[in-house]
Amino acid sequence: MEVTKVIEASIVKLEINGELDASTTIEMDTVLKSLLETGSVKIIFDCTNLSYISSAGVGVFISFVDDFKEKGGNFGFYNMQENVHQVFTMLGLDSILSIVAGEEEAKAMF
Amino acid sequence: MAFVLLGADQLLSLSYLRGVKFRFNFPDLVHGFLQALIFAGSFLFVRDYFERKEVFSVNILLKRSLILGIGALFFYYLLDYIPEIYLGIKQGMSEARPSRVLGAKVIPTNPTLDYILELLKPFVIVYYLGASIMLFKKLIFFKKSRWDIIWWNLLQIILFFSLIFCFDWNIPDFAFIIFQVIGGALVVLLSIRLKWIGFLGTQDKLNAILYLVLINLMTIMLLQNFFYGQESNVLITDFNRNTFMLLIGFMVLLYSIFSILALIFNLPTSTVSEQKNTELNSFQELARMQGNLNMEELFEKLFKIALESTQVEGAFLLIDDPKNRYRFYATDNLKGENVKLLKGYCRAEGQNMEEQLLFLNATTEGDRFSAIRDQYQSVFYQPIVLKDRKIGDLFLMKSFANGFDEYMLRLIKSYTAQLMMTIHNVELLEETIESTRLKEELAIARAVQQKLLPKELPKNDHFEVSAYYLSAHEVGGDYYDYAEVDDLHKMIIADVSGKGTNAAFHVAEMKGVFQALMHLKLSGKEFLNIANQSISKCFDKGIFITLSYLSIDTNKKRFSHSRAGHCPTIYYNAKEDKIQLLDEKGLAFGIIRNDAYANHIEISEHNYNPGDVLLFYTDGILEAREKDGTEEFGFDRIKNLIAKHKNLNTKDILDKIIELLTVFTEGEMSFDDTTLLVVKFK
Repeated sequence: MEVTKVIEASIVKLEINGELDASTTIEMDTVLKSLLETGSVKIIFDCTNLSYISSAGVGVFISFVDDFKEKGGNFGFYNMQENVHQVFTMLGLDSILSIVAGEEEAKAMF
Repeated sequence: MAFVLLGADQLLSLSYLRGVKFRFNFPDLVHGFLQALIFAGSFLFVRDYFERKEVFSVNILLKRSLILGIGALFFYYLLDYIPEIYLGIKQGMSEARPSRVLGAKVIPTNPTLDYILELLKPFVIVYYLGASIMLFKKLIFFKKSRWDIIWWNLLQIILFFSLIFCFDWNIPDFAFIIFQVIGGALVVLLSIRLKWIGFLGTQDKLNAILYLVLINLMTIMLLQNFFYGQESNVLITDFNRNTFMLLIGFMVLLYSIFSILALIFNLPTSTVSEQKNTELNSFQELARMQGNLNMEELFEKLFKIALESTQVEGAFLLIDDPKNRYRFYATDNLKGENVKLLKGYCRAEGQNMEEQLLFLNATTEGDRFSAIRDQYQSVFYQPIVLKDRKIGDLFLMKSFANGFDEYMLRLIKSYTAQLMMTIHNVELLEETIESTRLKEELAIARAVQQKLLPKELPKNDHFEVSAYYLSAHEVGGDYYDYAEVDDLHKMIIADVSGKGTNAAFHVAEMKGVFQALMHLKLSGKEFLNIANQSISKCFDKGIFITLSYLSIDTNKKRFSHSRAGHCPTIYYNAKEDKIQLLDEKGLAFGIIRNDAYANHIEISEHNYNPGDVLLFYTDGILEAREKDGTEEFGFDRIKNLIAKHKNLNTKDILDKIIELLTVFTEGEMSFDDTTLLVVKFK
């Protein structure tokens, strides 16, 4: 998995490429931790190339979302592939996390 | 005794001049027989006695011989003196003062006592000489060859046959000479076996020389006394008839003289051989420390050995290995500021792995090392390298220039290598112990987890249940359980995110919560809300549980179902002959940790009819992959299986699913735990 960081004004866009499973969550964890520390808390995730996500992969977002919200930020996911979206909905996370259709809607959250 | 052989002719004639007088009128033959018996008896006795003693320490052997010699001399003079004491007592009864003139044996003594005492003399001498020879034999046979044994056995044969000379049989002179010459030659051959000398240290050699000189003196005094000491009425003191004693006496004298000479000549080389011995011992010691798990001791040993083997004047060892947390530090004869300098050098050198002689020249190093230069002129640097990383530095110093030679440097290098190998082995051993321990712990965890699953599933007139559980690891994160309260039958299937031991612990927590809450007669929603809050408290962020919950009311023929982020349950409705998914809204446990959770969960209520089937499963089965492909088993396959086999009983439905799964994965183990739970209503 690869994460590309694009900073656009106050919003940080993270493009996720590849599979997010137990072995690659550490990488995502590191990225999110450093963003939280630097105070960049408005995050949108470009999931166009996120091909697979496991429950542990989902876990990493859940473990951080409260901390980001506390600092006035949030997570916005967009352009999710069907199988990835299914994992989120199955876990009931569509009611917790903002999963939207496109980049513009995601940016509009903030 | 060499002179005995050299001047044999002269001595022979001399010995014949010494007349033999007899107090008893025993024939000479009896005296000869008694003497031969004493020789043979005492020799055989000591031979067998000392043969069994297994000690091999040169100085202990020599000391024993010396003690025996002193004892022999003491007893010998005591035997001489007893008749005088005896007479003195006798005399004392009649006269006021015994006179020294008694020693001249003017006054007749008790003849029997006298006779026995006289016969004890050769016994004492042969006992001492024989014992000494047996002790020397251990030295002679040190690293023995086949020939040594042959010579030895030949000498014993000669000694045995020389006993016949005790009897005066008009034996021609040349017979004595032949025996004495052959025996003497064998003694010489055996006396040049002195291999043990090379293995003694200087101190041991000096001790050995002292013992041998004293042994020599004792022997000469005893033999001289026996052959020339007195005009015995009993003993045959003739040289030829005592060839036996002559030979063993010669052996003791010659061997001790040769040994003394060899020891003296070997004294100068002993320091070198001692050095070699120390080195050898050091290596052995290092190798022996294999079983030692104390690193501190190992490093201390290295430091000590380095000091001893090179006779350096100053030394410094610093071990600092953050990876294994080895820390050790030792200095010897080094000023505080120099220690600081060397520590600085170690840091600066970093990963330098080359051992080298350091020339701390002012030109190349500035004046950084001037303090060390004042104290020491030769400095040797040896990095301590474990496998392929440096863990420490060793400095050895001498006050004069060119203090280290190639040999010393090689030695230090081998010591370090040997020690590092020891440490490496210790590490491997520790790893093995650790992994064995982990395996045992996992086995226990597995046994515990098996007990978390219900032993028996309900059997009643309303429905039947079957379950399948396969853990991908020793312990897994899947769980199902059952409880019956009043007429409500409650079932749960859960999957903890993550795998292995951690997940298994959360499963245990889940079971505790389920079993505790079941008896509180809570509604489905209440149960899920409270369970989520209790469970979440124990969890780290990012860990969650998905579960499906089923409650069957057999009186009303209804069941309620809800899922907290779990895979939707497959429901076959027999009445409508239709398969549907129970995919209510539901959030996994552990995400929202307060009462707000209730807003994220839905319960569905259903009336059931005979033939209805419910299939619960975890995502392990969905994600099971083809052996060499990427296709997953997936939801549709399961759905189709239910459609096809809905009329079978629950056990057979499970078998059909597992059968197809096994064919699909070609028996390959899944990455995730796989759990299935089938309920069929009657």
